[in-house]
Amino acid sequence: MFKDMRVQFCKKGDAIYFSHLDLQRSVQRALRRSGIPYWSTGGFSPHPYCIFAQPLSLGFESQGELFDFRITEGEDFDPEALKRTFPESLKILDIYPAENAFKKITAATYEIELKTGRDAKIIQKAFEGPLTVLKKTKRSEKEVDIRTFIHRMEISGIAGGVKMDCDIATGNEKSLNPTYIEAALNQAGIPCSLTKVTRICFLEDGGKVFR
Amino acid sequence: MTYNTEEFKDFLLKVQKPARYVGGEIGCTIKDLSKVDIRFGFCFPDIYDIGMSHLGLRILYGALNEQEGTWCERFFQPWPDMEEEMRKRDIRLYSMESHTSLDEFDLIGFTLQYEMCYPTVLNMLELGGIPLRSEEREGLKNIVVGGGPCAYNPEPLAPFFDIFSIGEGEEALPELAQKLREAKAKGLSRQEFLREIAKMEGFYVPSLYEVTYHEDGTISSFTPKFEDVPTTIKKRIIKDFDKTYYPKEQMIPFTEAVHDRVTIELFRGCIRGCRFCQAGMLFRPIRCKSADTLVKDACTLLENTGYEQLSLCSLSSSDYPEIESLVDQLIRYTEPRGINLSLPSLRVDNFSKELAAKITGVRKSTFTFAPEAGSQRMRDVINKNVSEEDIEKSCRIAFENGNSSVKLYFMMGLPTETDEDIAAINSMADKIIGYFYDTDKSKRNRYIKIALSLATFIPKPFTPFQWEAQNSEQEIHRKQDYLRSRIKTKQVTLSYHDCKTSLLEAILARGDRRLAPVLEEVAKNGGKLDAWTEHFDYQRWADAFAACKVDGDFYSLRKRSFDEILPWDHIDIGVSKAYLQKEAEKAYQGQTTPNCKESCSGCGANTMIGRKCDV
Repeated sequence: MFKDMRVQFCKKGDAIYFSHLDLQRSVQRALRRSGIPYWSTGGFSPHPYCIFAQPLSLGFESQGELFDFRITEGEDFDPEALKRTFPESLKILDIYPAENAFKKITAATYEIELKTGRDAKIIQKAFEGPLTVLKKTKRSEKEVDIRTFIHRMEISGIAGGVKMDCDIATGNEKSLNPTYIEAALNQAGIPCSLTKVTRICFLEDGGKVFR
Repeated sequence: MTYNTEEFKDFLLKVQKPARYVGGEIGCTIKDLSKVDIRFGFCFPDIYDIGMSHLGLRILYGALNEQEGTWCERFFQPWPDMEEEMRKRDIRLYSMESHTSLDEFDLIGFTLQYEMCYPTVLNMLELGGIPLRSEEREGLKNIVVGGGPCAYNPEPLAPFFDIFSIGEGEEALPELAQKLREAKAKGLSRQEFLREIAKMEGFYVPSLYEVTYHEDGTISSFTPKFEDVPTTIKKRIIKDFDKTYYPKEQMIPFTEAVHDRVTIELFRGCIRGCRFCQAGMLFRPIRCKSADTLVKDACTLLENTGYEQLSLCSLSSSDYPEIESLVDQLIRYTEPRGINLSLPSLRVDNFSKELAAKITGVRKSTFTFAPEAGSQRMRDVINKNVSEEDIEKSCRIAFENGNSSVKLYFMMGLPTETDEDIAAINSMADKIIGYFYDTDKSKRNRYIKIALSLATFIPKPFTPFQWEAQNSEQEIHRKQDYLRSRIKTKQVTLSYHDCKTSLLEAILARGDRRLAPVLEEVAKNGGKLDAWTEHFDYQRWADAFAACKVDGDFYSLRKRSFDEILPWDHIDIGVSKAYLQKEAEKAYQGQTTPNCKESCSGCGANTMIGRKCDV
C-alpha cells in the first residue's frame, strides 16, 4: 500500500502572488520532477496524490504550510531530491510521516501588520467590545462577532501601525480570514489596512502546534 | 531601473493572475550581472500566458543564454489592468528575470508571430521607455530587432526597427549579440554597427534602403543607400537540424500558460505546398530531426520538468518520415507515467487506423480536419490534396473508434471561388453525417456533431497567392449568409472567424512602409492586444487609416500584376518568385502539384542546404 508523508514549506517573496491552484499545480510538477516513488491517482488524468492542509489567501506569507503526498510503502526515497525541486520562495522546511489528520486543525497562528493612525491601546480596546462584520460564505451571509473566532490576540505598536500576534480559527468547522479583522476595525471606526499577513503555524485543539 | 516586485503588493494583488508579473519560474535563467556585457530583452507582443506557450521563445531564450556574457530576459505585454497600474506609478515594462526596465537592454528582440500584434509592439516599446522610431534612438543600446514569420515582410514596421533577423534565429541571434560585443569594444557608432550587420547573411537593416513609388502607388524602386549594402537579404536556416541546439530544460510557469507542456519539434518545412499557406513556403527546405534525437529530447525534458503533457510540433506531423516508430517509442515512455501525448497537425489523407487508435487510447478528443475548401475543384486550385475518399475513409475510421464530434476548417474568399464551391462545404457536412449513420450502431456513438469553422482567406507574401485580391467585406458577408441559408440541420453548427480582423491582417501582411504612421496612430489611441476580441476595436483602425490618409484597400483588395515590385521582393526565402508564379498559373488551371515526397517540384529552397530535402 502507501504511506502518507507530510511536507512543511514556506511561501514567501514573490510566491505570495501564487494562487492556491497555481500552488497545487507547481507542487504536483515538483513531485514528478523529483523522481521519488510518489503514489499516483488512477482514472482519466492520473496525477500525484497531494492534499493541502488549508489554502492560503493570495498575498499572505507563510512559514508553515503543509501538504501530504503518498509514497508506495516499502520504497525508500531521498527527501533531498524533493527539496531540490522546490524554488526558494516555496522552500521545504521539513518532510516527515503524517500522523495527524488535517481535520484536527482548528486554528492558526498569524502575525498581522496593520497600517493605522491609532495606537496599540485603542486597537486593544476595540477588541473588548463586540466587533461585528458581515461574513460571507458560499451559502450564507451573516453578521458575526469576529472575536468569537480569535483565540488569542497580542497587540503591539510598530512604525506606522500595529502588529498583531494572534491565533485565529482556521479549519473546516470554523474559520476566519484575517482580512475580516481589517473590515471589522474599519466598521468600528478605526481606519486601518492590512500591510502584511504571515501564517506562522497551524494549531490543534488546546492550542498545541499541529504537525 | 530595477524593481522589487515584493513592493508591488498594493496593486499586484488587485490585478488578475499576478503570478505572471513576477517571474522566478523554475528553469528560468538568472545570471551574475558582473559577468554580463550584453543584455538581450526578448519581447513577446502578447500576454505572458500566450508567450510562455511559444516554442520559439524557449529555443531562442536557451540559445542566447548559452552564450557567455549574454543574458536574455523575457518581457510580455501586461494585461490592461496591470498596464494601468504601472502607468499610474510610472513603472516601466520590466523583465521577468531581474525586473529590470526595458530601456536598460542592449538588444531588444520582438518575435512577430502575427500581423495584429504590431500595435502591441509599439505599446511595449513605449511602456519600456524606448523611443518608437529607430532614428530617435542613439548609441549602442536599445537596438530593436524583429524576427519571426512577419519579419519576412517587415515593411510596415520598418521605421520602428533597427534590424530584422530574417529566417531561423537560433544561430543568428547569438551571432548578433557577439557582433554587438565586438562593436562596443571597437567603439563603433550606432550607424557603423548597423552597417556592419547589414552585410551579414540574414540581417536586414531597413534604414539603409530607399523606396520610391509610382504615381499609382506601386513601388518603382527599392535600393540600398550604400554600395556595400546587399540588394537582397537571404534568410538564415539551420543546415543540420538534427544537431541544432534544443533546450534541455524548460521554464515552468507557476500560473498556467495556454500550452503548458513539453514540445518537441519534428521537422521544419512542409512537403505539401498548399498555395495559400505562408508557413509551408517560408520554412522550406524540409529538414527533419531523427526519431532517436526526438525521443531523447522528449524524455530529458519530461524528466526535468515534471510536465504531464507532451506535444509534437510541426506543420504536418503525419508527414514525418518516421512517425510510426516515433509514436511507438514515445508511448512506451508516456503511458506508464500517465503522460498525455498529443499529436496536432495530423493530415486526413494518411491518417492510419492504428495511429488513430493509439492517440484516442490516451484521451478521446474532437476529430479535426482542415479540408480548407468544400469542392474538389477548389481544393485543386489551392493544392490542398485531400480527396473526398480520404475524408470519407478517415471519418469512417473515426466513427468506428467512437468519435462523434467532427470539426472542419474551411476558408472563404479563395481565388476563383464561386457560390458552388461555398455550397459544397455544406454538402461535405451532409455526406459526413451519412457516413456516421452507415457505421455499425454497436460501434458508433449515439449522436453526431459537426462544427464548421470558416475563416476568411488572407493572401500572404511568399505564397503563390501573393498577387491575389482579397474578397471585400460585403462579399465575405454575402458568402457567409449564403452558406448559412444552406444548412438545414441542427447537427451542423457554423462559426466564423471575425472577418474585420482578416481584412486588417491582409492590409498589414502585404503592406509597405507607408503603413507605419497608421500603426503609430493606432498605438497612440490605445491600440494593443488586437488578437483579443475584447480589446480589438475596428473603429480605432478605420480612424487611423483616415487620419493618415492611407487607403487600406490598395493593399488588400487590389489584384497585383506579376511584374509589380512587391514590398518584400528584397527578401530571399530560397523559394523562387518564378516558382510562386508558376504555381499561381497552375492554380488558375486547377492543376495540382504533387507533394515533395512524390516528386521535387523545384521550388529552389534546397539550394540553401546544398542537398535533397529530408522527405
